[in-house]
Amino acid sequence: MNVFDNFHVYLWRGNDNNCNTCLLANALNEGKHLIVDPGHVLTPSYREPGLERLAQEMRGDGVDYSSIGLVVLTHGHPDHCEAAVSIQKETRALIAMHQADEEMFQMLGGRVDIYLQDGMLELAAGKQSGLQILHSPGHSPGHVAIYWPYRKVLIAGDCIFYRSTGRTDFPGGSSDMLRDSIERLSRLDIEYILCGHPYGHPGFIQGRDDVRENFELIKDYL
Amino acid sequence: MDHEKETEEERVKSALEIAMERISGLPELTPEEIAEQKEREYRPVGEALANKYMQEILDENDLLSGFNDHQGVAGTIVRRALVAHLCRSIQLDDFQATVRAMNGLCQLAGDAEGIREKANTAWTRILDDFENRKNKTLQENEASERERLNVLGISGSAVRPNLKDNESLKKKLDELHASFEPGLEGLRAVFLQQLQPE
Ligand SMILES: [Zn+2]
Repeated sequence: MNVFDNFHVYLWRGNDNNCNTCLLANALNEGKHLIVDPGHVLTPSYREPGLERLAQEMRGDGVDYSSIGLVVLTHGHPDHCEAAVSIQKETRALIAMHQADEEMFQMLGGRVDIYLQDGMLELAAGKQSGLQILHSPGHSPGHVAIYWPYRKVLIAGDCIFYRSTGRTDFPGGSSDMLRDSIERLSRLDIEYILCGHPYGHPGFIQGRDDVRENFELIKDYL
Repeated sequence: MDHEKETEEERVKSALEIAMERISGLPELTPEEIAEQKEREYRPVGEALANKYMQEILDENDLLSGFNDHQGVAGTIVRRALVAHLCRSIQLDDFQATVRAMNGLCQLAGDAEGIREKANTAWTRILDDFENRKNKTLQENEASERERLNVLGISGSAVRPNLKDNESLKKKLDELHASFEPGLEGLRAVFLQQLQPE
């Protein structure tokens, strides 16, 4: 689904666990796209074809799967990055993630090309396309959230869900760190949050008021 | 009965004689073979000493007493093996092992001819030079990787190229290492000349 400009959101609607994905079309030179968290190739329990459905939805938006040039991973869990390994092989796209989650991605057979750290990820499409990378550990040690200042969009990964927060009981998880990460993210000027999963809600929170209300509600969990 | 006993003795005697004949029939070891045998026996002693020292099971004083423990040919072999092992531990990649090996070697040399000073000066110069050139290589490689990303339209302060898996960088660093080997050999030679005069 094209939300605005070159920003596309692909909300997972299957029965099994998989993540939400988003894409900035033509964000790189030569018409290459940037995709965030392509999810599972096949979901673990029901074998739903996550990547195939994603490619199909992209085609529906007129976005060519083979032109993916950069895959940004919010963290190294397989439900966010299994498909990145396939995309890397099929399209020779580069993979970017925080170094602290690299090992998890390597276990899936992936190779990291770019380490992300706090700062700006500038893209070819100019100033409007610059993305702020925020290291936001807690759900995993190398979790990053991605903020697009131009459109005030926060791609929250598994930090923030609709009226809920990410788990911290995985290896390297920390509830204290997650609390600090969410506190930091809550200070951004946000109009849209894309959550890592469609838990009890499609996972795309729209509007300043709803965003604010969600932050207020999840503070109780921290 | 007596006759039987005699026969038994004769039989035993002749078996002993046969064995002696066989032994006396073996050729004597040549001097080279004796040397090899000694080498096989005592080289592991020297290497084990060096190993234990490098693993911090022994300290520098233990090393010195082990070094002086054996006399004659055995002592020469033990010392040679020990010194060679410590010299091999002088490596650019392992700063800690190198410093430990050099401290051990200096202890063995008893600071003859100011060897500690000489070796430390040489090592510091080699290491500084190596680190400078390595950093320069890394910086150049990072710059060229950043340029490659820039061409694709990827840049910014959040971006750090992964250089660990970069084949061309690996090759350049291997070449850099190789170019420092003569300098390291020179450093090892300082100790070898002092500690293995024979
Ligand atoms: Zn996760």
